[in-house]
Amino acid sequence: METRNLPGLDAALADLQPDMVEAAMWVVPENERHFEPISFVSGLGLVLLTAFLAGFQEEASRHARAFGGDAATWLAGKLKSIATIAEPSPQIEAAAREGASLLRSPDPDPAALDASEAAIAAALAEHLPPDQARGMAARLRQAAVAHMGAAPA
Amino acid sequence: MNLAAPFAVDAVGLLVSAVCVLDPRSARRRLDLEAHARLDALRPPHGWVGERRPNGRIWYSLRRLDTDGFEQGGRSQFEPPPGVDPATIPLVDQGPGFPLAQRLEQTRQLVAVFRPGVLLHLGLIGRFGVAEDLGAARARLEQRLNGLEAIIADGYARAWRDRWLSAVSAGEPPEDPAAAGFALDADVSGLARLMQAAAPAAAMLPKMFAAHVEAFRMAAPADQLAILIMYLRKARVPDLPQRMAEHFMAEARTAWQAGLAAPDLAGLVRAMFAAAQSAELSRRIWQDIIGFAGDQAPPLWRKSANVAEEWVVRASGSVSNAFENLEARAWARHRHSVTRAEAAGGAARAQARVTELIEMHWFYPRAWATALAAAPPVEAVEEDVLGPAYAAEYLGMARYLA
Repeated sequence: METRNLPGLDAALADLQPDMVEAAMWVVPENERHFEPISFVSGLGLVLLTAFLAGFQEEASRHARAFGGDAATWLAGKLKSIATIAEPSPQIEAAAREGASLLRSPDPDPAALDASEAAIAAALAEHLPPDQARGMAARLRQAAVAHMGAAPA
Repeated sequence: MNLAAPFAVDAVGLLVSAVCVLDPRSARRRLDLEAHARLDALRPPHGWVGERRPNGRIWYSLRRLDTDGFEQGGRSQFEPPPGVDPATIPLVDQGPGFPLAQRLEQTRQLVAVFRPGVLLHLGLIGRFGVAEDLGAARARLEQRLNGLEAIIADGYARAWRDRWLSAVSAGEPPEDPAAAGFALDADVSGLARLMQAAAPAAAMLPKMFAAHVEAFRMAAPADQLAILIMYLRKARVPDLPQRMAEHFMAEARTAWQAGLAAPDLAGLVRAMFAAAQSAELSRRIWQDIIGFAGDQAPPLWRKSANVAEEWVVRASGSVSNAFENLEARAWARHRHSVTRAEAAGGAARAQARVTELIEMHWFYPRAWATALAAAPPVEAVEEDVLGPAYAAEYLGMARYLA
């Protein structure tokens, strides 16, 4: 994914690693149990961050009238078949890059951040208990804002 | 010439074959024997061990050693093995009331033959106070659960409630907090306490140490738990088992998170032991209610059961790893794996390995991340890394076991 080169991404992923380890346990299929490789965990973090940033961009720029645009659809599919589904489309990659850029602005749109966080929580709630899904989405937003919002352009 | 004799033999042989074919148990037995024969050829058996069960019967099992010295289970049966004098078979007494010290001594002698490394595990069981006396703990547990079953049959918890209320009204403290919780049957945490009391070391020890010390195997509590869950689900509060499963899941999560945040290995072990118990309880309850619900079970229940099992595996593995680290063996191995990762892929790869050991396997608290990456000399592990208190405990155990 091109999203890998975004400023602050590595720090955000490192910060999220414990959460992603836990999320991975819920997301993996039942017949693939016990000890996913660390690369899977990092990949899951990248997927969620990409979806969060793209969702934020969609909402902030009102490309999607209500959340549920490309990023949400892609994330839901990705979580259903995490190991096999294709990479994000160029549109989602572009949205995520633009979302990261918007995040670095002095005053990122809080309503758009809320909407993106809620969409991530909804997608995760298909796999995790709802309160943990909400907590995970909140941590995702926190890490994205802390590391990618503060990162140099 | 007796012409009938060969036919008689053939007839018997035919009958035996037919029984083997028609009776799946016989067929399975034959396959088992064939498998054992192949196993014997690969890894010759080491000897028979007996285990006296609470009902007085002795369970015989044939032990063998793997190529790396790890003990493997062989065949097992209630019948005394043919051709072996029963008096010569080492016996582990699992009957109620058998003092822990004697049990440890008995098992110490046993494992000294089969797997010397296990001696330290036994010492640690005593050290953490996991079960002050396994025989007595199990006797109390069985007494309580047997009583509970009768009470359920007699109309749920009226008797418990009456006993508890009369004790309270008489100004006496409840004789058993679990009974108090159970009397207040709408109180999930009360039931949780009951389950916690019913399940603990007795149920979890075999899960954790079955591979090492089969002498601690106990199975009864699982059946009793299933009976209770079935009753709750059918008769009283259908969603209570689900709430209990969620309760234990949350409890397990809190425990393993606390373990990873602990400052030292002893804190990690205590928390992980608790986490494994709660997660195992949760897993059993999920499995039971999924079984009842069948196809109607929500997908999240299945995921929860799966995740609870993951937690059991990880938490148990964490405890076992700590046992191994009494000799710092696992530590040395893990340190070397970090060093190898660094040589192969630089600091990032090394960091990934550290994350794997801590966050995925729960082998060490997060406070040890720096130490894992910083390559302290392995020789100094006992004093400098494990900490003087832990090293002292290790030495104390070594003296006890010497």
